[in-house]
Amino acid sequence: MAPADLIGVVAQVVLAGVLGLAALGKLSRPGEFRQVIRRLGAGPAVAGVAAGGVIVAEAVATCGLVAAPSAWWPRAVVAVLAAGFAGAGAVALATRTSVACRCFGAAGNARLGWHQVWLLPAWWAAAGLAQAYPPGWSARTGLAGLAAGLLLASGWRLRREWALSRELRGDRLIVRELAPDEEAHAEVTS
Amino acid sequence: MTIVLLILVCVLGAGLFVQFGALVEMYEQLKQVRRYLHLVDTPETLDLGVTAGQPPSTVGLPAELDAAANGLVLFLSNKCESCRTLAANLRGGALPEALWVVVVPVSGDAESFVEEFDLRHPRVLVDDGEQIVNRIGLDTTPVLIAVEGGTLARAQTVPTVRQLYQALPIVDKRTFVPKIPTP
Repeated sequence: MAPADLIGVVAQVVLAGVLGLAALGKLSRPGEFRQVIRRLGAGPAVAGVAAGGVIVAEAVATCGLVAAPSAWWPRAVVAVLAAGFAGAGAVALATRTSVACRCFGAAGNARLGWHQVWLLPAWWAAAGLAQAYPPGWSARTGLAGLAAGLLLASGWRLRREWALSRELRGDRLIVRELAPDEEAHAEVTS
Repeated sequence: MTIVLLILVCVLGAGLFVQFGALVEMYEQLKQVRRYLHLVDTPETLDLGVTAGQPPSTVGLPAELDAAANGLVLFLSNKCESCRTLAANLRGGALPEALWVVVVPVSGDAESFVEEFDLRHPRVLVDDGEQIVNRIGLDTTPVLIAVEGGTLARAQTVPTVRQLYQALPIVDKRTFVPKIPTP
């Protein structure tokens, strides 16, 4: 594989990975993402449609990037989404509104602002590189890669879930089980 | 056909990712609630004050401990619920090698507590008049005090049986088998 082709492959994989994780993260907490759009000034109905639209667009772009690597439209969707993210950051800056950035659906202290604006050239550069040197893998290979990536990501989350469940089980064992008559007493007195 | 199967795996993978994320979120919330309600199995370190570094016999503990390289003294009151759970696991005087038990009769007589859990062992003491705990300045039970090199080294609360096992020297954890009630 020529270095130029490798650049296209890396750019496309990075775009697919970032957008795929973003879509899944937002899908896990769609309400919070809707709130972000509302805080930017949209009404409830518009925010609902926009939130759903962004999640669908991210998911569709991810599928397109992996299953149709040489097609131009997934990269066009990426470019439009990136412009939207930067626009949201610009609106937050212009209106001096502090909006929690549910980037990737994550909870945290990050705020919408310059970060989203500065990332726009990076998004467009990656999309441009992938467009200039489009990868040539087949739809089957791309989907197999996506499936492997999703299963790996699920396994990574399962590790965290497993560790937490063990910890919680350990703590549960310290709580004395109530005898049936004590439970009845607790219900009567509560 | 392969493409359809791969799409199916992708959909399942995405579903798993979202579901595991929801579980992690729920567990994190449960942890928060338990921490708020103090239902977590975390021992707290206690300050031994001026008695830190002193030989155990100076606070009224057996002089035998002054010669111990490593030892643990467990203080149980005859009323607290956690103390009863710990005592139930030491029923019949099944004390690990390095462990001493001090029963503190905060109300009434310690004898009924000792009898109830059959704590018959030479290393089980009764702190009549709460003299030992008053000298150390302990106002909570159950508490574990570590004796190292013949001196009082540190103290911690013992919220659970698990924490008691955790504090025991490894050699004792291996040989100490808690009594399992027969049906």
